[in-house]
Amino acid sequence: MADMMKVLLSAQAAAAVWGEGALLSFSGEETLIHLGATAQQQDALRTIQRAARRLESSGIKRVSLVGEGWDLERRYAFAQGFYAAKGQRELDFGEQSAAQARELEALVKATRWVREVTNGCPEEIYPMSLAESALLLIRGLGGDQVTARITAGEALREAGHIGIWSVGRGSEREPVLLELDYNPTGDRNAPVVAALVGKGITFDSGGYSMKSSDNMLPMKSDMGGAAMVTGALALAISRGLDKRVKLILCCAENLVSGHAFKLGDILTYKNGISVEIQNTDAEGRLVLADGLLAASDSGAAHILDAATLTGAAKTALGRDYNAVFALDEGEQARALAAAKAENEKAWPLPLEPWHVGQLTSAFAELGNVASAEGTAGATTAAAFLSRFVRDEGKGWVHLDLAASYQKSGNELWATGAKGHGLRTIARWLQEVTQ
Amino acid sequence: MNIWLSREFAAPEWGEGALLSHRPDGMVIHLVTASPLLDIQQAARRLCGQGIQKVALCGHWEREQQWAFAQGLQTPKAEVELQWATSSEEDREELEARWLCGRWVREMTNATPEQLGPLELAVEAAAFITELAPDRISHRILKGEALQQAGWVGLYQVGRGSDREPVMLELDYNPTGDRNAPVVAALVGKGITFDSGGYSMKTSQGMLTMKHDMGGAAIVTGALALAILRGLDKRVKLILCCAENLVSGHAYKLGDILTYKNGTTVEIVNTDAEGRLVLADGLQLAGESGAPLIIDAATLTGAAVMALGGRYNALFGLDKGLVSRAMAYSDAEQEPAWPLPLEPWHRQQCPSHYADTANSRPVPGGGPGGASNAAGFLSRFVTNEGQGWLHVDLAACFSENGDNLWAPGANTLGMRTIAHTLLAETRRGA
Repeated sequence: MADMMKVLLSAQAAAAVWGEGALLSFSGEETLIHLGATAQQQDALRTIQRAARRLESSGIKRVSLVGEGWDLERRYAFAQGFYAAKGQRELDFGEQSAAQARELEALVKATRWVREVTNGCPEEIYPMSLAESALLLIRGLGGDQVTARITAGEALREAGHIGIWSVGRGSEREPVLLELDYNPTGDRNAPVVAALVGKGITFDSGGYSMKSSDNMLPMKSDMGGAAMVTGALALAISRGLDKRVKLILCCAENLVSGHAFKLGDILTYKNGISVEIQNTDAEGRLVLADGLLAASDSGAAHILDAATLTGAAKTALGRDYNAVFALDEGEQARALAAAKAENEKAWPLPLEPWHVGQLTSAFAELGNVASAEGTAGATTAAAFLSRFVRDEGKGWVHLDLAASYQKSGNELWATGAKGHGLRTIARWLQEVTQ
Repeated sequence: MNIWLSREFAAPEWGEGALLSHRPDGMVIHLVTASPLLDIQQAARRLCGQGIQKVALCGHWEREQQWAFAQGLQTPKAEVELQWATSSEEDREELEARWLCGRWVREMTNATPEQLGPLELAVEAAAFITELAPDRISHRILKGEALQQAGWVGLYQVGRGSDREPVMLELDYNPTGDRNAPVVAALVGKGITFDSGGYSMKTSQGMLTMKHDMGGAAIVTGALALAILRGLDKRVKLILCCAENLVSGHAYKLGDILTYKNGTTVEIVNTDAEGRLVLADGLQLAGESGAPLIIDAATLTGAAVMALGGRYNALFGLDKGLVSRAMAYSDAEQEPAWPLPLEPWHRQQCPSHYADTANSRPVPGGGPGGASNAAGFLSRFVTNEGQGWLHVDLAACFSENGDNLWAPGANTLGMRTIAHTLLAETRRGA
């Protein structure tokens, strides 16, 4: 381990020379992270991630975790902080049990995939390449238990996936629906226990309702939902998922062109619902509607969708919590418990059946946005989605991934994708399939 | 209309300190303030505004006085006719050279974006220079996908959103008769024939004048033409980076990362900071030519206009001696210019979390010091640590509404300074 910085945990305070309450102290090739004597596990994880972020940003790129006190969660917290989109790093986790090493490797691998594919520039990550790299990841884990169908371009329209087709038609790179079937049961007719649906907008200019440059800059990350559900399925498979699960990714580029969809257009979905486009930048719900219909058609008893859907969710919760919505309270509670069990942050926001009444249109059954004063943007987005799931939302939960991407880095997170949410989804999947 | 100059005050009935008065056979300009050249240009502007577009200069006029008048007597809607005053052969030749080159610069810059696409600009420029010196010119045009294959990634990416392909013109003026003569200078011009801003879209108001975003290409071409007419006898390259920056289903996007020929990776954080992206290719090509003097000109930043107003062009360089000599040349040519800061650390001013550098700072207009940061970006793509390189941010080359000196649209400010720099610096080296 030559040339590697050794990082140790310490319950002692740092020597006074490092400043009062110092997070880090150094001696030779060793760095001490000072957790404080009374640290709770939650606080310790935060402290460790903060320390890792500070080491990384100070230019230390090769680290080895040594000494007492490291466990699975602490190692993962360090790995989360010891990351940046650019450059190379090397991290040695030290001695672990085989089981722990396996779980940590699965966690790190899934997280890294989510971060890399989300941070990838829009020229490289486009609808078809996103679908293909998701398929490649899951195939690598599930082998021949994985089958998939890719529907692209005009075929989407012919198959009635009008939302994905309309949103993606403005780009020269065609929109794509990936329907992946993970069936480890050996029974072709095994019931689908759960379906994951992800929003995969590989670049979101807003369309004719164009975003400002400042708001458009991070919009390569608008496929974060698709990445997150894919990473979650990967983690769940690594953890031994043995039930049939569908993964559905709704992929498109939302661009402006002479063939893009327009304000005032009306889309009629497979279930007969007509939607007036009142804002082309509320496109995520339009593609998810197709995905949720496909999920419902699969007969899945449980459906989870994840999307970087609204700015309103970030306004409500900051970039620290993912928002959890459901009409089925049990399903919402399950998702929140899953987040807690996995040391991720999630928070419930309101959704009631009457919210859908706020999406009014004079020309169609629904508008794609609620524009009246006093309506809650993240909630009305969820209400829109609720029209496309079966059984009045029983078994369905919606995650608005406010906490998945850091526009500007902070003391815990490097700028870019965080992978924060994939463990929640993986755990939810394990719970509903048990 | 005949025009005379006078050092006398106008008769009192024309008002106190009147600039113009009438006499039976024409008009008189009264030079009674401390800045006679500005007075003459202003008088010409006023005459032009009254609809007078055919003029003969009568009596004694200095060379610069005649040129000041010619600058004011312009309108983008018509071709004016100006008969020079009787003067020396040398003065006459110089004025006619300026008129010829200046008219071309104005016509190109004022042309509508539909008339002048990237290819048209390159072809017009090559034709204009070739006509001046048919035996001494060769040129090469590279466009569309061929740009990407050749590694000119900035030009290709900026131009890919348009149905009209991006174009790089590489023109070789070689009066030496020796095919292997060294290239003593290279001129690089920004030729964005229309700049919508791309996905970082401009407001309609900010976009209205964006047909002139090829002003740098026009100015360097005009400058080379003027230098040739003034007797340039060394080998010089002209490089124009021409593209339309539009929005479409194939346009480049925020978050994209470009890898340039020299290995530099650039994250696009603002598609409206596109000029520097195309110039980066042009500067690298200029560097490959081995030219010890490289001058680029571009309508590059709003920040330069904010800093200097619309009457000065901004000069930048890491080669301080060259910048101060260029200042002296601009004084000699009666073209206002002003140096703005550029230091090696300016190249670090657009940090990126995903690439070596971003193409701007992700705030409107590039934020404080935006013109210097743009110059810092360009400095990543020049040879010899910037020795022998001059960057001109053409804040003064276009006027949206016109004023008391300038007609609406293009003027030629910068052309003479660059022509002068070209001649003086290449003779200096010899």
